[in-house]
Amino acid sequence: MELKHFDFLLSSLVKKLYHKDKSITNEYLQEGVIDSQLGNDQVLTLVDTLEPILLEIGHSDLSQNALEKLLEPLELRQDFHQHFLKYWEQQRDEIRSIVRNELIFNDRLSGVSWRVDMKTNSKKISNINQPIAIVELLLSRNQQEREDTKSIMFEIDKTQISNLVNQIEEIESLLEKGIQQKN
Amino acid sequence: MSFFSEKRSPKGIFTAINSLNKFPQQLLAKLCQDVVDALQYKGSVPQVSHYQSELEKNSIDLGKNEVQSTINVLFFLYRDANRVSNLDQKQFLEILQKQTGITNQAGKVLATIWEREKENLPSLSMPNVGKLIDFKWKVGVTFSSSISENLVTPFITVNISVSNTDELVQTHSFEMSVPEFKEFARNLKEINQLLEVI
Repeated sequence: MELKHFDFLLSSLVKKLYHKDKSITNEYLQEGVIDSQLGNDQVLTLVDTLEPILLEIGHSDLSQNALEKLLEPLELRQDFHQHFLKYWEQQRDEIRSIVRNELIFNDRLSGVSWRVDMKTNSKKISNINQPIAIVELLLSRNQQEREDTKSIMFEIDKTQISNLVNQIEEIESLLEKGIQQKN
Repeated sequence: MSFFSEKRSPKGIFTAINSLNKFPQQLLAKLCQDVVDALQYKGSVPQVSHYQSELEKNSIDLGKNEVQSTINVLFFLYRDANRVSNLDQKQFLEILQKQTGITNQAGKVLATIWEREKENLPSLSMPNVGKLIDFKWKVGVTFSSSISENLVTPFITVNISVSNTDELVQTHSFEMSVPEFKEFARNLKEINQLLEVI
Protein backbone atom coordinates (compact mmCIF):
# COMPACT_ATOMS: atom_id res chain seq x y z
CA MET A 1 0.00 0.00 0.00
CA GLU A 2 1.31 3.43 -0.90
CA LEU A 3 0.88 6.76 0.82
CA LYS A 4 -1.71 7.87 -1.70
CA HIS A 5 -3.91 4.89 -0.76
CA PHE A 6 -3.58 5.68 2.92
CA ASP A 7 -4.46 9.29 2.23
CA PHE A 8 -7.46 8.22 0.16
CA LEU A 9 -8.75 6.10 3.04
CA LEU A 10 -8.26 8.86 5.59
CA SER A 11 -10.00 11.57 3.56
CA SER A 12 -12.84 9.26 2.50
CA LEU A 13 -13.46 8.24 6.10
CA VAL A 14 -13.56 11.87 7.18
CA LYS A 15 -16.13 12.50 4.46
CA LYS A 16 -18.16 9.56 5.70
CA LEU A 17 -17.94 10.28 9.43
CA TYR A 18 -18.08 14.06 9.50
CA HIS A 19 -19.56 15.22 6.24
CA LYS A 20 -22.10 12.39 6.38
CA ASP A 21 -21.37 11.39 2.81
CA LYS A 22 -23.52 8.35 2.20
CA SER A 23 -21.68 7.38 -0.95
CA ILE A 24 -18.63 6.28 1.04
CA THR A 25 -19.40 2.59 1.36
CA ASN A 26 -17.00 -0.24 2.00
CA GLU A 27 -17.17 -1.05 -1.70
CA TYR A 28 -16.23 2.51 -2.54
CA LEU A 29 -13.20 2.30 -0.26
CA GLN A 30 -12.13 -1.03 -1.68
CA GLU A 31 -12.48 0.27 -5.24
CA GLY A 32 -10.41 3.29 -4.37
CA VAL A 33 -7.39 1.27 -3.37
CA ILE A 34 -7.78 -1.46 -5.97
CA ASP A 35 -4.27 -0.94 -7.30
CA SER A 36 -2.70 -1.20 -3.87
CA GLN A 37 -2.38 -4.98 -3.81
CA LEU A 38 -4.33 -5.08 -0.56
CA GLY A 39 -6.97 -7.74 -0.33
CA ASN A 40 -10.54 -6.57 0.27
CA ASP A 41 -10.48 -8.04 3.77
CA GLN A 42 -7.28 -6.22 4.58
CA VAL A 43 -8.84 -2.96 3.50
CA LEU A 44 -11.81 -3.53 5.80
CA THR A 45 -9.58 -4.38 8.73
CA LEU A 46 -7.63 -1.19 8.21
CA VAL A 47 -10.86 0.81 7.97
CA ASP A 48 -12.06 -0.77 11.21
CA THR A 49 -8.95 0.42 13.00
CA LEU A 50 -8.93 3.91 11.50
CA GLU A 51 -12.60 4.76 11.99
CA PRO A 52 -12.78 4.74 15.78
CA ILE A 53 -9.62 6.82 15.98
CA LEU A 54 -11.01 9.40 13.57
CA LEU A 55 -14.25 9.53 15.54
CA GLU A 56 -12.45 9.86 18.85
CA ILE A 57 -10.12 12.65 17.80
CA GLY A 58 -12.91 14.70 16.26
CA HIS A 59 -15.49 14.35 18.98
CA SER A 60 -13.07 14.75 21.81
CA ASP A 61 -11.03 17.37 20.04
CA LEU A 62 -7.79 15.63 20.85
CA SER A 63 -4.42 17.24 20.59
CA GLN A 64 -1.55 16.04 18.43
CA ASN A 65 0.01 14.35 21.46
CA ALA A 66 -3.13 12.46 22.27
CA LEU A 67 -3.40 11.35 18.66
CA GLU A 68 0.20 10.11 18.76
CA LYS A 69 -0.68 7.95 21.77
CA LEU A 70 -3.68 6.52 19.96
CA LEU A 71 -1.63 5.68 16.89
CA GLU A 72 1.22 4.00 18.77
CA PRO A 73 -0.36 0.53 19.18
CA LEU A 74 -1.17 0.49 15.47
CA GLU A 75 2.51 0.47 14.58
CA LEU A 76 1.89 2.23 11.31
CA ARG A 77 4.63 2.71 8.79
CA GLN A 78 6.60 5.86 9.61
CA ASP A 79 5.37 7.85 6.63
CA PHE A 80 1.72 6.84 7.25
CA HIS A 81 2.08 7.82 10.89
CA GLN A 82 3.46 11.23 10.00
CA HIS A 83 0.85 11.71 7.33
CA PHE A 84 -1.97 11.00 9.77
CA LEU A 85 -0.61 13.58 12.20
CA LYS A 86 -0.23 16.17 9.47
CA TYR A 87 -3.68 15.40 8.10
CA TRP A 88 -5.28 15.86 11.48
CA GLU A 89 -3.45 19.13 11.94
CA GLN A 90 -4.96 20.42 8.69
CA GLN A 91 -8.47 19.09 9.22
CA ARG A 92 -8.85 19.85 12.88
CA ASP A 93 -10.49 23.28 12.63
CA GLU A 94 -13.00 22.20 10.05
CA ILE A 95 -13.93 19.03 11.91
CA ARG A 96 -14.19 20.95 15.15
CA SER A 97 -16.69 23.32 13.62
CA ILE A 98 -18.71 20.44 12.17
CA VAL A 99 -18.95 18.83 15.61
CA ARG A 100 -19.80 22.17 17.21
CA ASN A 101 -22.60 22.69 14.73
CA GLU A 102 -23.93 19.23 15.55
CA LEU A 103 -24.43 20.54 19.07
CA ILE A 104 -26.81 23.21 17.86
CA PHE A 105 -30.04 21.34 17.97
CA ASN A 106 -32.39 24.04 16.82
CA ASP A 107 -31.75 26.90 14.45
CA ARG A 108 -28.27 28.06 13.72
CA LEU A 109 -27.18 31.16 11.90
CA SER A 110 -26.06 30.02 8.49
CA GLY A 111 -25.82 33.35 6.73
CA VAL A 112 -25.94 37.11 7.13
CA SER A 113 -26.43 39.57 4.30
CA TRP A 114 -27.42 43.21 4.30
CA ARG A 115 -27.59 46.45 2.42
CA VAL A 116 -28.03 50.07 3.31
CA ASP A 117 -30.92 52.05 1.84
CA MET A 118 -32.26 55.55 2.16
CA LYS A 119 -35.66 55.48 3.78
CA THR A 120 -38.16 57.02 1.41
CA ASN A 121 -41.46 56.32 3.04
CA SER A 122 -42.49 57.13 6.53
CA LYS A 123 -45.15 58.62 8.73
CA LYS A 124 -43.00 61.68 9.25
CA ILE A 125 -41.31 63.69 6.55
CA SER A 126 -38.32 64.20 8.81
CA ASN A 127 -37.64 60.45 8.78
CA ILE A 128 -37.35 60.31 5.05
CA ASN A 129 -33.86 60.06 3.60
CA GLN A 130 -32.52 58.61 6.77
CA PRO A 131 -30.24 55.70 6.02
CA ILE A 132 -31.47 52.35 7.15
CA ALA A 133 -29.98 48.91 6.87
CA ILE A 134 -31.93 45.94 5.66
CA VAL A 135 -30.57 42.78 7.17
CA GLU A 136 -31.30 39.23 6.15
CA LEU A 137 -30.52 36.37 8.49
CA LEU A 138 -30.56 32.82 7.25
CA LEU A 139 -31.43 30.31 9.93
CA SER A 140 -30.84 26.64 9.23
CA ARG A 141 -31.96 23.57 11.00
CA ASN A 142 -31.06 19.95 10.35
CA GLN A 143 -34.24 18.04 9.70
CA GLN A 144 -33.57 14.34 9.35
CA GLU A 145 -31.64 14.15 6.12
CA ARG A 146 -32.06 17.69 4.84
CA GLU A 147 -31.27 21.13 6.00
CA ASP A 148 -34.18 23.56 6.23
CA THR A 149 -33.41 27.21 5.90
CA LYS A 150 -35.63 30.16 6.65
CA SER A 151 -34.94 33.81 5.99
CA ILE A 152 -35.72 36.69 8.28
CA MET A 153 -35.52 40.23 6.98
CA PHE A 154 -35.76 43.37 9.00
CA GLU A 155 -34.82 47.01 8.77
CA ILE A 156 -32.75 48.70 11.37
CA ASP A 157 -31.83 52.34 11.82
CA LYS A 158 -28.81 54.19 13.14
CA THR A 159 -29.90 54.15 16.76
CA GLN A 160 -30.88 50.52 16.74
CA ILE A 161 -27.65 49.32 15.16
CA SER A 162 -25.66 51.38 17.60
CA ASN A 163 -27.47 49.70 20.52
CA LEU A 164 -26.96 46.31 18.93
CA VAL A 165 -23.25 46.88 18.53
CA ASN A 166 -23.02 47.82 22.21
CA GLN A 167 -24.56 44.50 23.09
CA ILE A 168 -22.27 42.69 20.68
CA GLU A 169 -19.29 44.30 22.36
CA GLU A 170 -20.59 43.15 25.72
CA ILE A 171 -20.77 39.59 24.45
CA GLU A 172 -17.29 39.90 22.97
CA SER A 173 -15.77 40.96 26.25
CA LEU A 174 -17.56 38.13 28.04
CA LEU A 175 -16.11 35.66 25.59
CA GLU A 176 -12.66 37.18 26.02
CA LYS A 177 -12.88 36.75 29.78
CA GLY A 178 -14.13 33.20 29.37
CA ILE A 179 -11.27 32.27 27.06
CA GLN A 180 -8.75 33.87 29.40
CA GLN A 181 -10.10 31.90 32.33
CA LYS A 182 -9.88 28.68 30.36
CA ASN A 183 -6.25 29.36 29.57
CA MET B 1 -49.47 54.16 4.62
CA SER B 2 -50.04 55.69 1.23
CA PHE B 3 -50.59 59.21 0.02
CA PHE B 4 -51.77 58.73 -3.53
CA SER B 5 -53.95 55.70 -2.94
CA GLU B 6 -55.18 56.15 0.61
CA LYS B 7 -54.85 59.91 0.87
CA ARG B 8 -52.94 59.63 4.11
CA SER B 9 -50.55 62.49 4.59
CA PRO B 10 -47.37 62.09 6.56
CA LYS B 11 -46.64 64.56 9.30
CA GLY B 12 -44.87 67.64 8.09
CA ILE B 13 -46.05 67.46 4.52
CA PHE B 14 -47.80 70.81 4.53
CA THR B 15 -44.76 72.63 5.82
CA ALA B 16 -42.55 70.87 3.33
CA ILE B 17 -44.81 71.72 0.39
CA ASN B 18 -44.98 75.27 1.64
CA SER B 19 -41.23 75.52 1.27
CA LEU B 20 -41.40 73.79 -2.10
CA ASN B 21 -43.83 76.45 -3.31
CA LYS B 22 -41.15 79.09 -2.87
CA PHE B 23 -38.81 77.48 -5.40
CA PRO B 24 -38.38 79.19 -8.77
CA GLN B 25 -39.84 76.96 -11.47
CA GLN B 26 -36.60 75.91 -13.14
CA LEU B 27 -34.87 75.10 -9.89
CA LEU B 28 -37.85 73.05 -8.77
CA ALA B 29 -37.77 71.11 -12.03
CA LYS B 30 -34.07 70.43 -11.50
CA LEU B 31 -34.70 69.23 -7.96
CA CYS B 32 -37.49 66.89 -9.07
CA GLN B 33 -35.25 65.47 -11.75
CA ASP B 34 -32.43 64.97 -9.26
CA VAL B 35 -34.75 63.09 -6.91
CA VAL B 36 -36.08 60.91 -9.68
CA ASP B 37 -32.52 60.19 -10.84
CA ALA B 38 -31.52 59.24 -7.32
CA LEU B 39 -34.48 56.85 -7.13
CA GLN B 40 -33.17 55.18 -10.25
CA TYR B 41 -29.68 55.04 -8.75
CA LYS B 42 -28.53 57.26 -11.61
CA GLY B 43 -27.35 59.99 -9.29
CA SER B 44 -26.70 60.67 -5.65
CA VAL B 45 -29.15 62.22 -3.22
CA PRO B 46 -29.51 65.99 -3.83
CA GLN B 47 -27.33 68.13 -1.62
CA VAL B 48 -29.05 70.55 0.73
CA SER B 49 -26.21 73.07 0.57
CA HIS B 50 -26.31 73.24 -3.20
CA TYR B 51 -30.00 74.01 -3.32
CA GLN B 52 -29.76 76.44 -0.46
CA SER B 53 -27.18 78.50 -2.33
CA GLU B 54 -29.17 78.34 -5.57
CA LEU B 55 -32.19 79.66 -3.70
CA GLU B 56 -30.09 82.44 -2.20
CA LYS B 57 -29.05 83.52 -5.70
CA ASN B 58 -32.76 84.00 -6.34
CA SER B 59 -33.09 85.94 -3.08
CA ILE B 60 -35.06 83.14 -1.46
CA ASP B 61 -34.08 82.42 2.09
CA LEU B 62 -34.78 78.88 3.26
CA GLY B 63 -33.07 77.22 6.19
CA LYS B 64 -31.22 73.89 5.98
CA ASN B 65 -34.09 71.94 7.53
CA GLU B 66 -36.63 73.50 5.21
CA VAL B 67 -34.59 72.62 2.15
CA GLN B 68 -34.06 69.11 3.51
CA SER B 69 -37.80 68.73 3.96
CA THR B 70 -38.44 69.64 0.32
CA ILE B 71 -36.01 66.94 -0.78
CA ASN B 72 -37.62 64.44 1.58
CA VAL B 73 -41.14 65.21 0.45
CA LEU B 74 -40.23 64.77 -3.21
CA PHE B 75 -38.69 61.38 -2.47
CA PHE B 76 -41.81 60.47 -0.59
CA LEU B 77 -44.20 61.63 -3.31
CA TYR B 78 -42.43 60.02 -6.23
CA ARG B 79 -41.83 56.79 -4.41
CA ASP B 80 -45.42 56.67 -3.26
CA ALA B 81 -46.81 57.50 -6.70
CA ASN B 82 -44.69 54.68 -8.08
CA ARG B 83 -46.53 52.24 -5.84
CA VAL B 84 -49.91 53.08 -7.35
CA SER B 85 -50.59 51.36 -10.63
CA ASN B 86 -51.57 53.51 -13.58
CA LEU B 87 -51.40 56.86 -11.83
CA ASP B 88 -51.46 59.35 -14.66
CA GLN B 89 -50.32 62.93 -14.73
CA LYS B 90 -53.80 64.37 -14.24
CA GLN B 91 -54.56 62.21 -11.20
CA PHE B 92 -51.12 62.92 -9.76
CA LEU B 93 -51.74 66.66 -9.99
CA GLU B 94 -55.32 66.47 -8.73
CA ILE B 95 -54.46 64.49 -5.61
CA LEU B 96 -51.48 66.70 -4.93
CA GLN B 97 -53.59 69.83 -5.16
CA LYS B 98 -56.40 68.42 -3.01
CA GLN B 99 -54.20 66.97 -0.28
CA THR B 100 -51.52 69.61 0.09
CA GLY B 101 -51.22 73.34 -0.21
CA ILE B 102 -49.18 73.11 -3.37
CA THR B 103 -49.45 75.97 -5.82
CA ASN B 104 -50.71 75.36 -9.36
CA GLN B 105 -47.36 76.20 -10.82
CA ALA B 106 -45.33 73.96 -8.51
CA GLY B 107 -47.83 71.14 -8.85
CA LYS B 108 -47.56 71.24 -12.64
CA VAL B 109 -43.77 70.95 -12.44
CA LEU B 110 -43.97 67.88 -10.22
CA ALA B 111 -46.64 66.29 -12.39
CA THR B 112 -44.76 66.89 -15.63
CA ILE B 113 -41.68 65.16 -14.30
CA TRP B 114 -43.87 62.34 -13.01
CA GLU B 115 -45.37 61.83 -16.43
CA ARG B 116 -41.97 61.76 -18.06
CA GLU B 117 -40.22 59.49 -15.62
CA LYS B 118 -42.86 57.18 -14.24
CA GLU B 119 -41.97 54.31 -16.57
CA ASN B 120 -38.35 54.52 -15.52
CA LEU B 121 -38.78 54.31 -11.79
CA PRO B 122 -37.71 50.96 -10.39
CA SER B 123 -40.50 48.72 -9.23
CA LEU B 124 -40.66 48.56 -5.51
CA SER B 125 -40.33 45.09 -4.13
CA MET B 126 -39.80 45.00 -0.44
CA PRO B 127 -41.86 42.09 0.72
CA ASN B 128 -41.77 40.97 4.29
CA VAL B 129 -39.22 43.40 5.59
CA GLY B 130 -40.10 43.82 9.19
CA LYS B 131 -38.76 46.02 11.93
CA LEU B 132 -36.49 44.80 14.66
CA ILE B 133 -38.43 45.05 17.90
CA ASP B 134 -36.28 43.21 20.39
CA PHE B 135 -32.87 41.57 20.66
CA LYS B 136 -32.05 39.28 23.57
CA TRP B 137 -28.98 37.16 24.03
CA LYS B 138 -27.30 34.73 26.37
CA VAL B 139 -23.92 33.09 26.43
CA GLY B 140 -23.59 29.58 27.76
CA VAL B 141 -20.83 27.03 27.84
CA THR B 142 -21.63 23.49 26.90
CA PHE B 143 -19.45 21.30 29.02
CA SER B 144 -20.69 17.90 27.96
CA SER B 145 -22.93 16.29 25.41
CA SER B 146 -23.99 12.94 24.04
CA ILE B 147 -22.11 13.70 20.85
CA SER B 148 -18.87 14.96 22.21
CA GLU B 149 -17.26 14.49 25.60
CA ASN B 150 -14.52 17.04 25.68
CA LEU B 151 -15.70 19.81 23.46
CA VAL B 152 -16.08 22.58 26.02
CA THR B 153 -17.24 25.52 24.01
CA PRO B 154 -19.32 28.65 24.43
CA PHE B 155 -22.53 29.08 22.47
CA ILE B 156 -24.31 32.35 21.97
CA THR B 157 -28.10 32.15 21.82
CA VAL B 158 -30.04 35.03 20.33
CA ASN B 159 -33.72 35.76 20.48
CA ILE B 160 -34.95 38.38 18.03
CA SER B 161 -38.43 39.77 17.63
CA VAL B 162 -39.44 41.20 14.29
CA SER B 163 -42.70 42.91 13.50
CA ASN B 164 -43.84 42.62 9.93
CA THR B 165 -45.91 45.02 7.87
CA ASP B 166 -49.12 43.76 9.47
CA GLU B 167 -47.85 44.60 12.93
CA LEU B 168 -47.57 40.90 13.77
CA VAL B 169 -44.58 40.15 15.94
CA GLN B 170 -42.60 36.99 15.35
CA THR B 171 -39.83 35.80 17.57
CA HIS B 172 -36.94 33.75 16.28
CA SER B 173 -34.29 32.01 18.25
CA PHE B 174 -30.94 30.80 17.00
CA GLU B 175 -27.57 29.69 18.30
CA MET B 176 -24.10 30.55 17.18
CA SER B 177 -20.76 29.00 17.85
CA VAL B 178 -17.93 31.43 18.54
CA PRO B 179 -16.69 31.71 14.94
CA GLU B 180 -20.25 32.21 13.70
CA PHE B 181 -20.76 34.90 16.31
CA LYS B 182 -17.56 36.65 15.23
CA GLU B 183 -18.85 36.77 11.66
CA PHE B 184 -22.21 38.09 12.88
CA ALA B 185 -20.44 40.74 14.95
CA ARG B 186 -18.25 41.76 12.04
CA ASN B 187 -21.27 42.33 9.82
CA LEU B 188 -23.13 44.38 12.41
CA LYS B 189 -20.11 46.56 13.06
CA GLU B 190 -19.74 47.19 9.35
CA ILE B 191 -23.36 48.28 9.12
CA ASN B 192 -22.90 50.54 12.11
CA GLN B 193 -19.89 52.21 10.56
CA LEU B 194 -21.70 52.78 7.28
CA LEU B 195 -24.79 54.23 8.90
CA GLU B 196 -22.66 56.59 10.94
CA VAL B 197 -20.93 57.91 7.87
CA ILE B 198 -23.93 58.52 5.64
